[in-house]
Order: sequence, then C-alpha cells, then structure tokens
Amino acid sequence: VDQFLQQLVNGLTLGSLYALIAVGYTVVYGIVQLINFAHGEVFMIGAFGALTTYLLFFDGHSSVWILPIMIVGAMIASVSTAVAMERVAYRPLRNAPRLAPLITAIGISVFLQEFIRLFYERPGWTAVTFAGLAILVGYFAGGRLSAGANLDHPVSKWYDRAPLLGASAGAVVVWIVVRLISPDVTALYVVAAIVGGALVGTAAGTLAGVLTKRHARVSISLRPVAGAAIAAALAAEIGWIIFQKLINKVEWPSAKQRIPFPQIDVVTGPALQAGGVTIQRSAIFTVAALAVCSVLLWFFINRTRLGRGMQAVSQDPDTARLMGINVDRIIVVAFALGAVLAAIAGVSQGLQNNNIEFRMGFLAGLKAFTAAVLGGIGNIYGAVVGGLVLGLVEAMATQYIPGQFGGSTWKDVWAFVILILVLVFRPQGLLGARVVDRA
Amino acid sequence: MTDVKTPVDQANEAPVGKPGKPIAWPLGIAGVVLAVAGSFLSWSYDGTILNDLSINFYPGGLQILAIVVALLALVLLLAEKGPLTRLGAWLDATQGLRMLGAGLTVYMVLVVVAIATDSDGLINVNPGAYVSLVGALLIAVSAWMLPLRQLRDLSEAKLPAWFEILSIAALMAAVLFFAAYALGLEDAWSFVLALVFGAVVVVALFRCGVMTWVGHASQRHKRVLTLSAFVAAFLFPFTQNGSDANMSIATQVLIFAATAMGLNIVVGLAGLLDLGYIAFLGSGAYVAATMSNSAFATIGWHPPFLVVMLIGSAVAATFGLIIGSPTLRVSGDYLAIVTLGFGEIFRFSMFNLDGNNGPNLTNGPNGVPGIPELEIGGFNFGDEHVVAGIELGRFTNYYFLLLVLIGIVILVFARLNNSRIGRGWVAIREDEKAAEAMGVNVFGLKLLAFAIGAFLAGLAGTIKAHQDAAVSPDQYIFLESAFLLAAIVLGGMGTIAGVLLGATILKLLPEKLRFFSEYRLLLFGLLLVLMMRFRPEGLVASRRRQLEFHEEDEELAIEVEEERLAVEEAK
Repeated sequence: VDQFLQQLVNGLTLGSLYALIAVGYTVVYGIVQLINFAHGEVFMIGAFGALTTYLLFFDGHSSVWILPIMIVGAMIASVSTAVAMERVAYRPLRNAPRLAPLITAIGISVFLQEFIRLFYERPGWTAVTFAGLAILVGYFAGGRLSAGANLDHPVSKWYDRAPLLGASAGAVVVWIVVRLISPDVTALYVVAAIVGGALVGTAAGTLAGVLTKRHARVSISLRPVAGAAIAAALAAEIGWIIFQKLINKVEWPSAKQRIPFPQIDVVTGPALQAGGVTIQRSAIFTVAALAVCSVLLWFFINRTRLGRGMQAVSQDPDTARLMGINVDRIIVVAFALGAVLAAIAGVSQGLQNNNIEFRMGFLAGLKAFTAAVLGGIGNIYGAVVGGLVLGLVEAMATQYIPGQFGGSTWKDVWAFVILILVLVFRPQGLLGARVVDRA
Repeated sequence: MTDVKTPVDQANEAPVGKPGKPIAWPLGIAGVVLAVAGSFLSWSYDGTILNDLSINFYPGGLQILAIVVALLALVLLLAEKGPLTRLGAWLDATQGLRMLGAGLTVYMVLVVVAIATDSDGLINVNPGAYVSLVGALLIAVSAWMLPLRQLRDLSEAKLPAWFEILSIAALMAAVLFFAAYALGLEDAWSFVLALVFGAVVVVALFRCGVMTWVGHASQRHKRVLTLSAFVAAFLFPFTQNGSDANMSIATQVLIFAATAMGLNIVVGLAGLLDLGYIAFLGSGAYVAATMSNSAFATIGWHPPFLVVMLIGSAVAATFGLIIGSPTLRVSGDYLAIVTLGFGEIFRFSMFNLDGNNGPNLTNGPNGVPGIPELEIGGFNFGDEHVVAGIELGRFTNYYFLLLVLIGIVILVFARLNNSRIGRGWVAIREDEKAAEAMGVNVFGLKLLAFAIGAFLAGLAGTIKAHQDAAVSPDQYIFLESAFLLAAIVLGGMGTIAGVLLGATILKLLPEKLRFFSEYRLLLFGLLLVLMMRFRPEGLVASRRRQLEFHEEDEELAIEVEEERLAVEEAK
C-alpha cells in the first residue's frame, strides 16, 4: 500500500506539472486551432526567467519571500516570449494552410532553444534589445502626443510614421555613438546621451517629415516628434543604466550545461515523511500551485469579460467579431494565459529537479500536449484532468508493469503509447471537446 | 553557368517601349570596362589570402568570376542596343542587368570585406578592387535607368532540336564544373564568394528569361535533361582527384537527399505531415547493422546485402503501416504529433533495448559499431579503384551506389506523381472531403503514401548503416526529422529539383562553413520561420503549391491556368 501511495504522490506531482503546461496548448488550440509546438520552450524560458530574477536581485539568499518575485520574473519572461511569438510569427500566417504554422512552430522551438543555449551567458544582446525597445517607446509616446493622426489606420504607410520613427531612431543613434565613446555611467555622458539624443532625434524626425511630405497622408507637428525623440533617448539611457549597473554585474552561468536552480526555504529542503510515503516539499508546492491556478482559471474564464470573450471566440470567431469582440486581442490573451501557467510550471520544475537546462522544454512540452489530447484538446478542464491522469499513468507504469518493460526507462514510451491510443480510439479525449476538423 | 545560349534567329523587330535616359547605355558599357579592367589589376596586397589576388594582369579565381559576371552584363547590354538587339526582343535584358549589377556590387563589397578581415584592415585592399567596385556600381545604376520593354512570349521561341539539347548539356556541364570548382575552395570566404557568384548568375538568368527558355526546352526534351543531370552527377567523383573530403560530404548529401525525397512523397504529395520520419531511416539502418558481420551484431543470421536491404525496407514499411493505419483516421495536426511521438518511441526503444531493460537488440546507447564494408556479389565497397588514371576511393563506391538509389527514389516519385495515385494524393491534400466524395480511396491512398515513404527511407537506411560503419540512437533524434522537413520546405514541397536543392544546401553549407557551426541551429530555426513567412512555397515552387499558399492572388491563378493549357497544347 505504501508503494501505491508513493506512486500516487509521484504521479500527482508529475501530473500537476503536465497540467499546468497543457493548459497553454489547449487554450491556444481552442481559439486558433493551432498546435503551438513552441509552448514547451515558453515553459523553459519561464524557468530561465525565474533563475535570471534570482541571479539579478537575490543571489545567495534563500528566503521564501523571494519565490513570488521569481514567479513574477518567470511570468514576464515567458509572457513576453509568447506574445512576441504570436505577433511576429503566427499572426501573419493566420489564414495560411495548416502546414505553415506548424513548421513555423518547429522553427521557433529550435530557435528559442539555441538562443538560450548560446546567449544566456552573454548578456550583450539585452543592450540591443533595449535599443529596439527604446525606438518602440519613442514611437508610441509620439503617437500618443499626435492626437490628430491615427497611425493605426489601415491606410497608413511607413511614410506616415516616418517622422516619429526617424525621431526615435535618431535619438537611439546618438545614444549608440555616445555609448561607443564611453560605456561608463557618469553624469556627463548620461546627460549628453539624453539631451543630444532629444535634439538630434527631433531634427532627424523633422527632416524625415519634410522628406516624406509629398506622400504623407497625415502631417505630424513638432510637438509629437520632439516627444518621440525625448522618450526614445530617455528609454535608451535607462536601458543602458540597467544593463551596466545590473545585468553586466552578474556572472552568468553557461546554459550549455545544466544550471543549478536556487534553493528556497520552505519549498525545498528535507522531504516530509507521512507513514511510509516520502513527499518532497517542491511536490507540495507544485500541487498547491495547480490547485490555486485551477480556481483562478475557472474564475477568469467564467467571471471576467476577457474570459467570456475567449469562450465566445473559441465557439465561433466570426460571430464573436460581429458581436464586438477584438479577436486579435483575445488570441494574444490566450497565448499570455498559457505562458503564465507555463512560467509557474517552469519554476516548480526547477525546484523539483534542482537544475534546469535549455532542452527541458521539448519532452515536457510533448508530454503536456499528450495530456491536453488526453483530456480533450480545446477543453481547459480537460487539460487539467488529462495532465493528472497522464502523470498517474506514468507513475503506475513505472511501478506495476512487470518484467523488463517496466521501470523508469520505459515510462516515456508508455506516455506516447497512450497518446497514440487516445488519438485512435477517443480523439475527442476523456472529457470530450468539439473536435475541429481542419484537414 | 556561363553559357548564354539564346534564340537568335527568329526575333522580329523589338516592340517599342518607353525610352530611357540616353546616358544609361554608355554608362553601362563604361561599368563593364571598369569592372573587367579592375579585375585584371591586383585586388589585395596580401598574396596569401583568397588564393592570391595580388598579381597584376594575372587574375585569380575570384577575379575571373567577376570578369564572367561583367561579360554577361556586356552581352545583355548589347542585347539592349547594338549587334544583339534581336535577342533583346526575347530576353528581359534590363531585369537581368539590374540583378547582375546589384549582385556584382554585393560581390565586390564582400570581396573588400573579406580582404579586410582576412588580413588586417582596408589598407590591404589594392586599387583594382575599388575600380571593379565602381564598375559594378555603374552597371547597377545604368540598369536602373534603362527602360523595361515589352517582350515576346518565350514559349514561341523554337530552335533546332540539336541546339536545345546542346544547351541543356552545356548547362549541366557548367553546373558540374562550377560545383567542382566551388567545392575545391578551401577557405570559407572564397567558398561564400563563389556561392554569391553562383546565386547572382542563376537569379540573373532567371530574371532575364534564359532559364524560362531552358525550362521550355527541357519540357520538350525531358529525357535529355534527366540523362544529362545523371551524367553530370556520375562524373562528379572524377573531378575530385581521389580526394575523400568532398566525396564523404557528397555521400552524406545523397543519403540525406534520398531520405528527403521519400519524405517528399508523404509531405509534398499526400500532404501528411510526418515528424518522425527519421525513425524509418533508423529502422532500416538498425536492421542492416544487426544483421551485418559486425562483432556487435545481435542477430546471428547474416544474409547477403540485397536480402538485408529488402528486409530493412520491409521492416520500415511495416512500421509505417503499423503507425499509419490507426492514426491516419485523425486529422492533420494530430497526425504530426502522433508521428513525432512514434519517432520518440523509436529512439527510446533503441536506447533501452540493451539487455538490461529489455532484450538485447541494439546495444542501447552504444549502438552497433564496426559494421564492415558492403559487399555485393564479390564487389567490396572498401576497395579503391583507378579509372582512367583517376583514383576512386571508398566514398566514391558508395556515391555511385547512392546515385542509383536516388535515381530509383526519383523514378518512384515521378511515376507516382503522374499517375492516378498521385492525382488522388493531390486531391486529398487539397480537400480531403471533396476527394472522398469524388470516389478517391482516401484511407488506402494515405496508407500507401506512408508505406512507400517508409519503404524508401528504410532502403536508404540500410546503405547508411554500412557507409557510416556504425549506428547509434543519437543519430535518429527529432532534430533530424526537422532537418528533413526543412529541406523540403526550403526547396519546395512536391518538387524534385527543389528538394534536391534544399537537401544539398542544408547538408553542404554546415560542412563547408565550419566557422558558423555554433550558430547553425539558431540560423536554421530562423530560416524555417522566415521561409514560412515570406516564401512558403519554397525556392523552387511547384505552381500548384504556389497557388495553395497564395489563394487570393488572382493573377497567379490565371498565369498557372494559362501555363497548364500551353503544356497540354504542346502535347
């Protein structure tokens, strides 16, 4: 009996992890009928986001109060990855044949894994990202100031946006020049980068406006151009200060090997004994996280505007659009929702295994997808149930399949066998879902 | 790639277009002169880099390439105005010139960068390089000032059959010559520059319509095209002077291409996304390994290789049927994941069947090393031969065998594509329900596609085992399946030439460009995303596929329809 209980505990732990990731697959599939193959990588990046937060702010500490902040860091990392992925790669392919997004997803998956492997120990790329972000910040700030010009109008072309983009880019170029001269953060150079960026950016933006005047549909006055330049210069310099004072100070570990995950009081440490059953503290954390998340998820889906919007879109996107639901935004929310849960899963995986690596997303993602299919893909509660069932089955298979084909080396095989069996005999899954035929 | 055999005889007067700026043409001629003159001068102070570009009036390899581009530009300029104007009525000389000018400029800029990075700084660039660069810029500028003209339809251009056949053969010879030259380049910069040259010339030939004409000609002489392509491939080892380095890469490319071609049947024709295809290659390889005379082989029976080949591919096909028969009922996305799961099951099983966790079949993670050379009918593939004074080593033997294999695979592919079965597959791919309603046996055909694909992969696998002399589970991971898929996507789904091209690019570039091997996978992922975003139909697009990916493009639809009618008329 002890053995059975032990495997039950193991299975529930494993299953909770699968369930947390599986929700991401099922939410996205329910709304856009896309298997977001790269979701496993979102999970992996969540774990790395948590580690990054720890290394940046709390290196060497182990108080339990760090944990929520680590989870927030993980969420920021994974949500921004997932949203960027949707915006850059999936949205342009929304009406393409179904092969295209799937291949894109494989590409993203490989890209993200390699990116973490190669660049985690070299934080220089964040400076480039900050520069790009600064241009975006400048552009949006300018857009807010130029109230008369609607730049999101479908007719708008690049030359309508040229003054704002020129202003932001000009400011960022000045910042690059200043920082190439001296990378140190001293009052003189900070002021030089900001003031010089604002001035030159304004000039560049005005120049761009004059040059494109012949084609432009809207004219943008000096105020928004100057605003864009100032915002971009400020953002770029703040990014640089963060980079120099915070990011560059840390000794980043190489992601080519496994990286040890920080140990936190209360949730890691000596295991608890209940009768003959050993329960890891991190296991309790995982199961508790799943429980809390399920309640919140139920609340979100059924009791908020966005959640109901999601339900409506998954039932009928066209009608939902006619009813005034912003389908694009709902899709972004779906990706973000999956990423939030994946981030929590990433943290608990790190706590359980005591280490993380760039490859961890692949197999976990595949298993989680199996779980989603098992529960009925598109059905959110199905994903939770499917995850738990899959975890239990794996644990029990390890224990109770006799002979040489039992044991932990074959448990992955059994998980995939289950995937195939479910798809063949009950493609709608355990709880059932509307099966969308997209062939 | 340098031959510009074009229909000269039959052009009537050129249709009148908008006049360009009068200065454009002389400017272009001046550009050509400068580019050629610069190439005869020294480009680099340092004679030890890029195969010596430092001697005046004795152009090195890269300089000759620049001269070739400049001379092509001259031919096109003369077709605009001058003795070859009759040619200009057929060829889009301006488009070709724009490509050549821009391409030569990029090429020269890269040359300058290469010299600056290989030795220390721009100081080592000699004036010749700058002269050529200015010439290239002049060509580009003049091409953009020249007017675009109305052209006659190239499908009407008919020349004597012997001439068409000759130009196809010459084209193949040029490809062979260029491949041998490019592969012979040792350092990475020279190789990259040679590739840029090749790309520029090919794109320019496409732009100005020479390739369209070659396409029409090869439509009329299909046999000649196939035969000359195989002759060129057959002659390739004889250009290598017994060097094994390139031959080993070539055999790998061929195995990869043969496997990708098999997958092309499944993905490209039938539209079934198979993400575990490498498992079929693996099962063939494992069968061959365990039945070989290796000391680590686990099966006591060692039949002759032809039998092993059949068994291996039969085993793979059986796996295909086992995995296919239940799962083909589910819709497309699910199939992708199931096949992926199957691939993982295969890898785990090969990993685990080591005697501890199951019967000992595969030696687990160690795999089966020490597989002896192939022997077919007393011919040992490890032996070296000397033919016509040229040494042909071990890899060459395998190369020829694989050439036969890929010939078979292509034959199967082409025959199936043009048969009732192939049409059924296309119908299924485009609309399964409609196909079923029209009486296509959807399930049977899907299963057939799966089984044939698996069979061909198994066939390739049995040879691969002997050629690599070892098999192990980590050769058959998901990433390899993704690579195969990428070769198809990159080249163009459902085409023969495209997939061969894609496989060659994906296998050859990482081998030759070792310096970016660290970033190989990163770029690979990015490439997949960008391809799907900007050119989902691949480099060599099958027209039908192109239409599938650009449904709203009415002009393209009309074009494709007209092309189809023209082909039928020609028959």
